Amino acid sequence: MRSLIYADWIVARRSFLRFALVSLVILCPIIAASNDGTSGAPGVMATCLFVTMLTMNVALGIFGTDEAGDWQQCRLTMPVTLHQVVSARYTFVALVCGATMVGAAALGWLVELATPLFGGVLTVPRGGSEIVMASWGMGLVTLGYLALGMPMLYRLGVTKARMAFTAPFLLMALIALEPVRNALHGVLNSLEGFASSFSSPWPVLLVGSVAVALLYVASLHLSERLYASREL
Amino acid sequence: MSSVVPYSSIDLQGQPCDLRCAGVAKRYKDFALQAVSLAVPHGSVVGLIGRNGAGKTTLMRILLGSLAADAGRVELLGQDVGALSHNARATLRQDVAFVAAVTAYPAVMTVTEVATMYQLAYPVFGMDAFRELATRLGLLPDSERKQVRELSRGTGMKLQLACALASGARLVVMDEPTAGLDPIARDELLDVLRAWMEPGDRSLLISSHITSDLEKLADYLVVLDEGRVIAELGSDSVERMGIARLRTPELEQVLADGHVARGQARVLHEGLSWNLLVPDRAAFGRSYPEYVCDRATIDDCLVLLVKGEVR
Repeated sequence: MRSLIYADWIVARRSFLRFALVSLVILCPIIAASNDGTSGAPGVMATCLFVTMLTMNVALGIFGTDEAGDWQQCRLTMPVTLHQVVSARYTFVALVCGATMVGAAALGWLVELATPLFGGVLTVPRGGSEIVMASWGMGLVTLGYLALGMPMLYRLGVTKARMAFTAPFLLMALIALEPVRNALHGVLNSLEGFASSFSSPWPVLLVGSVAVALLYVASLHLSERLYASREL
Repeated sequence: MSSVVPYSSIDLQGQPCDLRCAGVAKRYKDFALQAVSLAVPHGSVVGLIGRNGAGKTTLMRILLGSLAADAGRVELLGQDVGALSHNARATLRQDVAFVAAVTAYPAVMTVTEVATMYQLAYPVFGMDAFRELATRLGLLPDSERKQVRELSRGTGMKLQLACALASGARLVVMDEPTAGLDPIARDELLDVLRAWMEPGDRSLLISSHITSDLEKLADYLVVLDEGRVIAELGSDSVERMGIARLRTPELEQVLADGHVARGQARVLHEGLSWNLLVPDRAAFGRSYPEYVCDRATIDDCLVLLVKGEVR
């Protein structure tokens, strides 16, 4: 199992630089635009979001490698079980998610510190704990999304499943439509109302973490069954 | 192994085998592996030959457990694979290594990283042995930091070979390892395999289209065609075989004499004459000194066994 985690790590490490560069290109204008003297908060949040999104990028990258050049058939000839193949991948993705949550909080905090230096004003200044909570929440959403999507990747393979896997992101383009935007605002307001009913958001994050962890374990078992039924 | 045609000459009953399969079957829409049985005796090299699409790769994947068979029994290093738990199978595969027809490691891994991955997978993987083999094969030190995608087919094959042989495996299964390699690289690869086999306690199952390679290496040959074993030959029996060049009346006479049993002889019409595959060239020469009978190569045997008409 260690060999498989190692292989995933090597593949992820190589794709990391590419993702970091793309993120930088997208993030710089967002951070610059949010330092217009009104608010630096969007830059901080965008930074946290992009860093946690790295998990998604890594996951799709390593699943893609499985299908390139018969690697997924080749690794089954090594001394590993099907269970180890799947659980190694789940372990690695969870580790990457944990690392990106920490990285997102650290980078978000750096962007927040840098905002006033470039003339930006944080109308809603976020303390360190708020950035940690935001990163944590985004990490949980990412991991939850992957937990729902990974069984599909194991059943269909990344080539067939990629479109279905990324479709929700394409749907984000619908935000440009006013009715969709209004509906989204409504949902966000409801969520904010729900969250404000708690004296502190930490319990919500803890409960969310447990729920995502359970979902992740269930997803692992489902993926094992689906992968076993798939003829490579 | 069971006799299929008179040219089959192997009886491995009771002989210790590192790999043995019986009645292995696998059905696809357009292809079926049909009740394949073969054995790799302990300390020997078995060559698997056959046309493209004959079922060699499918069979190898079943033998290694990376593909499930519809029927049949596979015994690996003396253990019935079907009766083992998943964990026990994985443990058993620590003694078995595979060399695929294409270098299938993740493309962005470097040569050293692939070796590290093997070291983590195989408990007795020898990094020193890997370095020694890789250096001997010309892979190191030049390609040490090269990624798999940057390697030529030959270099990729050398990497697979060095990893497989350094893994500590007792049985290595190789799928077309010499295909696409230049003669020098093929020769180096065969030298390394011969040296690896020297201690006498290791076994090798190797498929190849380049039958001259198998002639130099294999103790036994198994001919697979359209998903079934059509012949099993010992390397000594191939050496004994001949191709008799006969005109029609001569062929009829040889068959009438029962030198090759009627209904089992393989003949192929070529120009004005018939080529008859003869199990024992020397005996044929004694019986028919006036007829031309050349030494048969593995290619000749393969062509006659696969394309030949049964008489």
